[in-house]
Amino acid sequence: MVTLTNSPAIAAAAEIKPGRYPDLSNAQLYLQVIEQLLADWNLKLGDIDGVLAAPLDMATPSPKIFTHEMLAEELGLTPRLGLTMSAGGATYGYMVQYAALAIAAGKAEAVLCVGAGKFAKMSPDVAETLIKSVCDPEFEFPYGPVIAGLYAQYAARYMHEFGVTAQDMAAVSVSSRKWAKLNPAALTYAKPDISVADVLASRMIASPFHYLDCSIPCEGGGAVLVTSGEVARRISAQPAYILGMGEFHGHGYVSRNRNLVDCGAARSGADAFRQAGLAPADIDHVQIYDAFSINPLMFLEDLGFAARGKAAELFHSGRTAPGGDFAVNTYGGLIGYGHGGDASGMSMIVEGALQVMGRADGRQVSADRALVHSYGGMMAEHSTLILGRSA
Amino acid sequence: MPGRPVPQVTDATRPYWEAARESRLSLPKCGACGDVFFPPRQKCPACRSDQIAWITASGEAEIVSFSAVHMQPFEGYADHFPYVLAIVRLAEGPQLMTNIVDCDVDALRIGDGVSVCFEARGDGARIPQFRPGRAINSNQNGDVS
Ligand SMILES: [Zn+2]
Repeated sequence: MVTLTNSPAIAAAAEIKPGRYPDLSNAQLYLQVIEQLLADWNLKLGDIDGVLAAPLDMATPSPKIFTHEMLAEELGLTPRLGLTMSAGGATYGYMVQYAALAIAAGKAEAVLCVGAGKFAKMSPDVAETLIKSVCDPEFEFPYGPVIAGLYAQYAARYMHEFGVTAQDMAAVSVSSRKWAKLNPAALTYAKPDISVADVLASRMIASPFHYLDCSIPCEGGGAVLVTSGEVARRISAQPAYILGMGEFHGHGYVSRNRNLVDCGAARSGADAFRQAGLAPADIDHVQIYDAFSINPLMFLEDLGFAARGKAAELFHSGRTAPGGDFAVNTYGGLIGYGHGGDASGMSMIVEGALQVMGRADGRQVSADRALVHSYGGMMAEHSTLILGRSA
Repeated sequence: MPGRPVPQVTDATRPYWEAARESRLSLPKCGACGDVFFPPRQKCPACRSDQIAWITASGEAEIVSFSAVHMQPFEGYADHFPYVLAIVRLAEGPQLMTNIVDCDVDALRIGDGVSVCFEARGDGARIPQFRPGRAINSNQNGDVS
């Protein structure tokens, strides 16, 4: 166990409702997210002395590399710490990690971590822009890749090696929908429950993924404030202390991964558990980046919550769903809640923090300790966070 | 198919694409340590030597993974669905992304043997593609329309 000085914690966390914001520019979405955080937690801008931002327009050909400066100026801040950070979906996990390190080193006391993004409605030209940000432009793009088809390379191989089935993946979407129906902010909140058969009957997008195996593109954004434990206790009755952190960077593009069933989540997970001095059995709930239904299966196994090929049993048995003893993606996941474009990697962090803080309303679980896993690129770089109620 | 993307060539990758124009699959091989690697780079990724030679690959490969894609990736890429997006491992070791062409999608399996063929793109460019079965002969001059 490696204890961090100053007990860094997530003191405040907020997201805007996933959906469509046609009247707001991307920059205005960022500011709306920050307003929401300030309002939800009764914060003052003067409390903030660090700003970590995801680049505005991250998944476009021209991301804004000085987004932290733009935000600081807009908010009238002159922070002691500021960076624009970019690692795709892992960006937000890394923000929390680097904010915690800065706080442990006394370099800042209250670091705002923020991102927002648009995820335009799918059309062939939008798909081309998006795909070019995650595939090799020279050696993959000429073969007509789509994002679902790239993820499918992992899923098909995983099924092949470990006997995982389409029913197993469908069970992940079924569990996510149950949680989404407890979360009024989720895009599928008002939709009916779904069954494994419903997922398999939905149209095929890219084998093995059916429509209901896929996350739902939308716009959104989220922010957390990472502070010292002392500051956190003034802001929140129950902060989410950062107990463990892990980071791992593996292959680049999917066709370069020599072992498609090992993306590196196990490495970032092992570091986080080691730092926290905890094991998988100590974790109450897990929030995992789920662009597609294969992700939670692969990562729960990588992270030590199930043997290879066995994570599906957690979903089939109902243990991951409301009322179960091992809650997974309690906000509905990106599959049930919505995939808020560039900011999707913040959703599972906000949820992990809110659960630990006891602020998850109708979907609150017994949540002393959370594991939050996110990744960037084609599952190429990983972030694992372990959060808990006591430092 | 002329509407499909034409490869963006760099100095390091030019020999690969020049060979493809002649319907040959060519791979960089390190003159110092013997590593056959991909993608082509100015220096060997194993030992950083810049003594790079080019070999003609056998054209034989195995399907590592694949997906039958039912949606248009971008304007004009496919005119019938599904098309197959795959990763194959060459007999020489490197992995490539490819389409599996001339195939019965429902019969395709991971581990199947495939062999290279070449598809014409714009401006005389050709790109390696793979189809089920062994190469007809070793000079890999099979073309697809
Ligand atoms: Zn070498």
